[in-house]
Amino acid sequence: MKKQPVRKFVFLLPATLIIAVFFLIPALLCVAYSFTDLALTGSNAKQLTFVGLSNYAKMFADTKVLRAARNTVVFTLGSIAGQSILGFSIAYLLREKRVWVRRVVGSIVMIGWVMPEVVAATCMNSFFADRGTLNAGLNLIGIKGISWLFTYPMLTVILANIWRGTAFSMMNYQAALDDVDTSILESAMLDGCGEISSIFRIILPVLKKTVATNSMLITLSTLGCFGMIWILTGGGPGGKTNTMTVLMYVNAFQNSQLGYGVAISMALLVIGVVFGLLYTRMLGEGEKNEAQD
Amino acid sequence: MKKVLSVFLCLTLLVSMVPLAFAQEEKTTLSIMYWDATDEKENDDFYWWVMHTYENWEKKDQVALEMLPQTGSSNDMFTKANLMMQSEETSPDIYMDDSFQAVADSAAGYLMDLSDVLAGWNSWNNGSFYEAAKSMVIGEDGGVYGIPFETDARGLWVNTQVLADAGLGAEWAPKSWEELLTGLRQIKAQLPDVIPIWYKPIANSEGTTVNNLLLFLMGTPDGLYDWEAGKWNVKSQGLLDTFTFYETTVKEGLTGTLSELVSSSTESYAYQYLRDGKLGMFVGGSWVAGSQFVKGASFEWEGYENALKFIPVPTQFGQDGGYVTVSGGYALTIPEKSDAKELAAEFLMAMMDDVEGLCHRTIRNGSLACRAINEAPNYNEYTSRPYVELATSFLEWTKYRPQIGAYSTVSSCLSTALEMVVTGTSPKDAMNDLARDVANAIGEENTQSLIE
Repeated sequence: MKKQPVRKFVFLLPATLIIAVFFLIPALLCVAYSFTDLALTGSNAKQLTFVGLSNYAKMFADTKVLRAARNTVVFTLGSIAGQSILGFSIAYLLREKRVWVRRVVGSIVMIGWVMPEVVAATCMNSFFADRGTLNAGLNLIGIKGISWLFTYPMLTVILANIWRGTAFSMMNYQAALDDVDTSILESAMLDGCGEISSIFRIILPVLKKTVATNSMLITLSTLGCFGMIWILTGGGPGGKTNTMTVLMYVNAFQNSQLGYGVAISMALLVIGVVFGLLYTRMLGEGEKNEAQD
Repeated sequence: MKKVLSVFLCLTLLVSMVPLAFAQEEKTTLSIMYWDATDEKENDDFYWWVMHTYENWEKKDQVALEMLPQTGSSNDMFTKANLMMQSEETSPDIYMDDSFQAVADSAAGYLMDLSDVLAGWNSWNNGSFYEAAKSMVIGEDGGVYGIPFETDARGLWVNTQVLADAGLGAEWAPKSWEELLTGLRQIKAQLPDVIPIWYKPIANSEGTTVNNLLLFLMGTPDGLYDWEAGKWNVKSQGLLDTFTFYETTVKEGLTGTLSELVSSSTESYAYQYLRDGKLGMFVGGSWVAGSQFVKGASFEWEGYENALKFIPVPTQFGQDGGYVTVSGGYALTIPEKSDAKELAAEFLMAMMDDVEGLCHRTIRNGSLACRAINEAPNYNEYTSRPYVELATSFLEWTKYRPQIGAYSTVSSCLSTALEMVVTGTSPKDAMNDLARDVANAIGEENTQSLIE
């Protein structure tokens, strides 16, 4: 019995080491660097100086950061809503359909997701461009095209991100929907429950955990989304799609202020943690309710 | 049989490695990091120049070259180079750096001070180099951190047909901003389908600042940097006037559709419209015609030499000699952490004295040479290129970007402010934002305001 802890430790060691080297140490270094004036070039690059909280003080005085934080939240919420609703709808509609229908529709939806981000973003760029596919299509049916990337930049990047991410939600919900007991649905139907209300009263409550997990995963990938926005709008026009990741990149790699860039990424981390807490809370309450039932 | 075969194979492997091992011991390797934006490899003009020098170099047998071309944006190259130059393990021996970035890199301690080497080099001291160009890569401490090899000038590329049709006359050359605006308004009034002027207003882009904004800002009585006080002028009447100038072009519809103007392919729109006679003028660098409109280039334009004119941007009120241009250019530098500095310096000097190679590069790249190259066999090809002489004459009024390490950061903030102005922020708000951003990035003590 006594040997057990030692053995546990030995077995845990490789994983712990890998996490420490590739994740924990860099993460801690990031925290440390956010208190310095680390720079890529210029006189600050010569030696690293500890500057205390001044990066954070700068950040709170910087209206761009506030705006970027707001943009990040809008972008994230928009993406979660769009990807979840669309993903769920497709999964629901494909349920109990013929195999070939599921395969064909599934593969089409998957295209955006299996493509590398840069390729997907380039596709979306030629789709939404002033003389892109979308406007050409609209012109065909007699509607005058609009410059999507300029007039509605935030909406456009959200739509592009939804296009790319829907497949992931669809797969999650497809797997979960298979677990919904059809006998419950059938008996509900016999009791006179319509299709819409069966979705809201039976399916969604059963899938509550999947909804939370799925939203959590989308949040994490959307908060860190960079390539899509950078390629579509570069954070513009006039900073309208400047999210925290874009701001971080610009400060760290274009203005060469790595220390400040890292501090901004810390703020992004805080936003991520807040979302994370919300979801775990949601999951926790779900479990409590189940226990009470 | 198998055994024999495997022994034989092993032996062959061993034997084949022997000459390799010997060869490596004999030759020193010089690694050269340079910008090859569109991945042209052996067809790249810089590559051609390096190879041309190397083939004729007396130390060719003792030295092997390792070429490290960098594709993509120059910004990505700077980031990568900065990281590589931090360690002896990864540092290249020769690095082709943009002159403005080289000043920042010298402040960071990445580059070797070449003063001593250059003191003993004939070409540097016998007047072969343009004095103004020499000063491009002088660091904040007065050291010389690179050998500039090419420079450029910036101005207005005008379509003379549009000028003539608008009644301005092909010889039109504005002498102040007011005259420039009057001309633009006349184009708009006479030719409603033609866009009067185009410029690059993209945020976080050195191109926006140096190819466009500085041409106007440097033409105001307030400069960008106050050398006496050692501070950046982040608030000034000149800056406000400059922003107002841009605001006017947008408000009065004197420039392109905003969605195209602030898109990532803004320059491509400009080249296309200019060629098709739908644009009056474009604010840009002297290399534009030679790299965009020549045969085989993206916007091939037959007869561009006759239709296109390159005229200087006037100063705000026509003061200070009347015109202003801004010059930049690339320089050859040696990283401080290179392990073959002496050899690298020798090779650099050999490259600069290989006028034929330098001339080839300059022609292909559409830039202006920093040193006299009239002895090059291909010199005629250089001078026969349209606009070269003209652009060279612009250098008389040239201004260089302030050789201060923080310039690249200030530039990034300036371009961001310009994009804000063009997309609807008032000049005053944009200037206040700019002042705050710059102070944030480089410290408030390094900035100053010239107005209330």
